[in-house]
Amino acid sequence: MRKQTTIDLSISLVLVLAFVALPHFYSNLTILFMMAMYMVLSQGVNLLYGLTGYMPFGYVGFFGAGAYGFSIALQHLHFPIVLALIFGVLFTSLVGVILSPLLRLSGAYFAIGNLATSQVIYGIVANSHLQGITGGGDGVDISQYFNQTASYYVMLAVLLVVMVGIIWVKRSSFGLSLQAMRDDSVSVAMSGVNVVRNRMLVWLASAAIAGLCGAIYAWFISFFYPSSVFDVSIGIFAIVFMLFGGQGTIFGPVIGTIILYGIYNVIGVSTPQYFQLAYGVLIVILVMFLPNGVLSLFKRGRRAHGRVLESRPNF
Amino acid sequence: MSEILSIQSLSSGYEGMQVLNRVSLSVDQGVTAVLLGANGAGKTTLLKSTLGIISPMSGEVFIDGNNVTKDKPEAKIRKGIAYFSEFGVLPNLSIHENLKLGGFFLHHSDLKDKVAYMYEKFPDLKEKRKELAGSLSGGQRKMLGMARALISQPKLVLMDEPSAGLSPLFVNQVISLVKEFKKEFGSAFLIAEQNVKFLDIADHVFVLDGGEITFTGTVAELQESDAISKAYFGVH
Repeated sequence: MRKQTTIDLSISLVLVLAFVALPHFYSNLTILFMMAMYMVLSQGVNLLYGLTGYMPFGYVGFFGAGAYGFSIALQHLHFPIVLALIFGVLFTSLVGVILSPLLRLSGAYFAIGNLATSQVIYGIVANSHLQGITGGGDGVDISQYFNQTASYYVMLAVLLVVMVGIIWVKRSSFGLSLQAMRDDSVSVAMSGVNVVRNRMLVWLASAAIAGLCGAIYAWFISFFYPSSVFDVSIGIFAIVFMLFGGQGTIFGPVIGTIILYGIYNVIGVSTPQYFQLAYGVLIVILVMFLPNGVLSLFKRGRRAHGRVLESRPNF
Repeated sequence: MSEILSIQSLSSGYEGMQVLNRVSLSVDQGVTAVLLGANGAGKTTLLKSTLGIISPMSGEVFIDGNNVTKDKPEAKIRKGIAYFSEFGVLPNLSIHENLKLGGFFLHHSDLKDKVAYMYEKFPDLKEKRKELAGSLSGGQRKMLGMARALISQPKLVLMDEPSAGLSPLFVNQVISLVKEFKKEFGSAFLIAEQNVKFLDIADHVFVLDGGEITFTGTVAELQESDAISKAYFGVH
């Protein structure tokens, strides 16, 4: 187990170091930033859906809340960048606490409820009555803080921390209780696990990850409209990348992001008609042949030996 | 001998339908008590209400003299109660993970020793420790559920029909394990059963009929009584 943890940590470190080095070989920092951001976001979805089974279709609500929390801290509270990022996370966590009654729902009801609440947050932020605070429909301009290089490296630091966090969760008894709760929360409570508290912790951690991503994204682009940080496709991308790579795994969301976001940037911008086709075909193949994601390919050998654990690969 | 469990005037049920009517019983430390009753008598409801899986309509539950009626199930488990039922096994976790989860609130080093001890008691589980619990047979799953419930060496074990669906061989194994745990750790057991075979290990017997306790006493006293024939056959 320790050996596997060391391997996982080493792979994570190599991944982040590769992203540190990449700007020296590839000049489009925006694509690199977005790829790192989606890795973090899809890990946030992984934490919530992959481990506890809650599908956050409205995940972008936390992302947008983080972006606005960060901007408000900069513009109105005149916080320095680091404190503004922390404020963005705390603000998102507060939104998470307010929305926590959603956890009483399950399955499609939770997914739809979550999507609806994200649109409510969007509606509040974009409301012209709050123009003095949020900028309303005119958006937010924090271009005086524009620093893409710094925000890129902060995102990489967050990626490393999130990867280490996911590795810890997967190996800990806390993570074990989360995976078990997904199957049968009553049975897990019979082991003395505080199911409600654990669910809440994961919900808030996942919200905080999205909020931090949103805050760093706001810093990176420095000018945005409500529609750009509450764009549902941001959350959907994170979900699809996670599912494609492998839900509940450590590296599935990373692999999913590299492959799908890579394809998106290779052919999605220049020839969007082929991109849609390629995406569609890939997703059909995934659903039909690899419902547990690309990483489940590596687990088939074990299943053949009856040594199972197929449903939740460890890497 | 002091009481580990005391249930006083407990009424409970589901969504307005009352199943238990002012049930009172107590179990002393280190005692094996068997709760006999036919299908629908309210045995499972009584155990679930005791643990708090179902909120009682009225009445009180005391553990070690402390009123725990409003405590959540996980809080009661942490106070040394274990529950063995159809909830016993998580099929998508390995056998080893199921056992580890059973001792979730134990200290890491303590858990390691106790997992090793359970493998001694259940050598079949040790052989298959890496396999998913869902791949086990019904009897083996029951054994794993029992191992999961007993791993923390609880003061009181609530067992809900442990013999259901088991062959006579497995039933004898369950009975032997109850005896061993009682002897080695002084655990008390409240076993809800229909199978009278469990009377062999009962220090105390309760008969539950139509949501009410109709008999309380020893096995010898039960043999003198017509409580079982009333409960099982409606014979008066």
